[in-house]
Amino acid sequence: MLGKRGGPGPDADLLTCEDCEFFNNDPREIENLFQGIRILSSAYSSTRGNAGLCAVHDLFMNPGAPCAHFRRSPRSPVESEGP
Amino acid sequence: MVKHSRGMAELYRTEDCWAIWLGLFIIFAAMTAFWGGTTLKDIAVTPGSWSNFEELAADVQKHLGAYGLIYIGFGIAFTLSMAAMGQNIREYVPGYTIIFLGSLGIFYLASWRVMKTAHLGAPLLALVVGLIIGNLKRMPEWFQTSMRTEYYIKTGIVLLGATLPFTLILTAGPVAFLQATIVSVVTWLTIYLAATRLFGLDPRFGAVLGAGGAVCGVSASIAVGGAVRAKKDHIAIGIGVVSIWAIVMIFSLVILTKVMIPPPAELASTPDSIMTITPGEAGAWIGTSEYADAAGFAVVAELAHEYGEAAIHTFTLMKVIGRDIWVGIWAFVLSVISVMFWEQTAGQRNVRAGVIWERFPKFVLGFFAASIIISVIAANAPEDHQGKAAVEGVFKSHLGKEQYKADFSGYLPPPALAARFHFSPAEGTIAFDGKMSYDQLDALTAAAATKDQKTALKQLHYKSDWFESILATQAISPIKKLRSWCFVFCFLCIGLSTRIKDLLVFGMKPFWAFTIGVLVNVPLGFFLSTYVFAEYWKAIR
Repeated sequence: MLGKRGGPGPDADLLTCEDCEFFNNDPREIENLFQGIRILSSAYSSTRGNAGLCAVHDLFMNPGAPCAHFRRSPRSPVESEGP
Repeated sequence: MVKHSRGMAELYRTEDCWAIWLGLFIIFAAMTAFWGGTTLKDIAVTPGSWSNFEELAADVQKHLGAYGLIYIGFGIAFTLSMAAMGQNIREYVPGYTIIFLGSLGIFYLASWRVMKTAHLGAPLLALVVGLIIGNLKRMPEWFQTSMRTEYYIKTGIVLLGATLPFTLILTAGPVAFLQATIVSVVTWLTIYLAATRLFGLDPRFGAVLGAGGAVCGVSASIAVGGAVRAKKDHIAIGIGVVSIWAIVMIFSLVILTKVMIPPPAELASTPDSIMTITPGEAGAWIGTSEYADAAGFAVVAELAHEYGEAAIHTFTLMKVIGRDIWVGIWAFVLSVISVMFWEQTAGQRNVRAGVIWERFPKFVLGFFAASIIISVIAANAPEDHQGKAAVEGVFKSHLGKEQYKADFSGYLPPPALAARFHFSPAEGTIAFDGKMSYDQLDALTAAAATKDQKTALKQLHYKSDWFESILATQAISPIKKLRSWCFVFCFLCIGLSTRIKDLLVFGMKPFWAFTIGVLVNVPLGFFLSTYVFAEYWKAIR
């Protein structure tokens, strides 16, 4: 199910940036990265949603469809039902 | 392939939802106590006034048990929610303890008569003390876990819903939305155009800065940043610029509004002029010209200390209803614009309308729920309620205290009200069946011969209002006290976590782009609040 390096593979329509090793939307890590966020906001708020940091493109973004740099993350909850 | 749903996790992994659960639980507890014939008043306390050490010690001793219960109650709720959100509770608990004790100290400092004479309330003192400590000494990493500014203020806002009638939200909400939309759109355009046309910044960066000034501060910058795929540095700079200005505006707006609002005793008699405003107008102005809920509440909570709740109500209508709840729409619209015009791979990603709901600040639902619950209860006052007032006592109002000792032995009420007005010489009381209207008060007062009789009738008018004299004092007052605790936790955390040096990491171009927006936003907000829509805001108590 994993694509070769450089793409998500045949199940791309089920995967998003959240399933990518290079994408991080863990709220604790976002707050550590953006230190001032705790003063008047929070990474645990609804308004952040599931936005996070893409290490490849250096962007803060809502997760979207995987790009050519996609690499499946071990923490991805997407499961396979077949071989 | 099976994809797990992540939607339900929001119910226990976001501060918004925990603010709803905790806020509504407190309201439920207050109402349960009320219907059970008791009240949380003796538990939900804040310090009383003191002027010497003996009075201070007596107050501490009187309330020590209640402070312990508040500490434990909030402590359990916050700790459980922190654990559910994946925070380290071994760091949270000691940090919360320090924040609680610090807040208690702030409350006592604010209740010292010297501070009362200087008109310095707990909100401003919490911020100032926090800023001094936080900038003299960096807070240790483990303490950061407990400085949950947003969580505390959102819980406070949910509790605030219990004091804002839902009918007011329905009638004033559209006005707030109209005024806020005008200011938000003008502010966003000003900042965006200054950033891109004047200073040549990236359009997405301009959008992030604009959202911070126009919608709801750092939270909006984050929401829009994610929607337009802003660079990481742009988010960091946006946070710094918005935070600096939000802190500056706290002090600026406190000073300006305190200068421009006449003293409470002179409010009714002061003629309109360009340099005087009412608390309601001040709250609306702050609602358009502050950049974060927490910062704005620091200002209006400080005003409430002296002027009552009007500024808090109008601020909430303007900021929460007029601005906060539309952040999802801003994020959606700007993401469409970004895809079409700003991104290098223009048109190559889909934009989902679902982001409007995903980015909706869910804690506002708790605010609405609290308002609806209390409004429904208030609308169903007991039909057989009889207000009763002593003929001798003290009448308290926002103008001060009036002592009276009235003799009603020769008093003749108007014939139309004779069946509902009762005087009991044996009990030393006067009574009125049902709720007395202002017209009925005027009629009863017209028949009064002495000033003391008139004051006693004002007291009776208050007692005839089941909501004000019974529900508000027994159930809503404790909710307001606990709300004050949440607010002071928040303001202390703002101060402790704001290190000015760390925020000054931005270049001058984004700072000036934002500042140009401030220079437009503040006078525009003032003009709309105190001229165009003044009559709406003046009428709100």
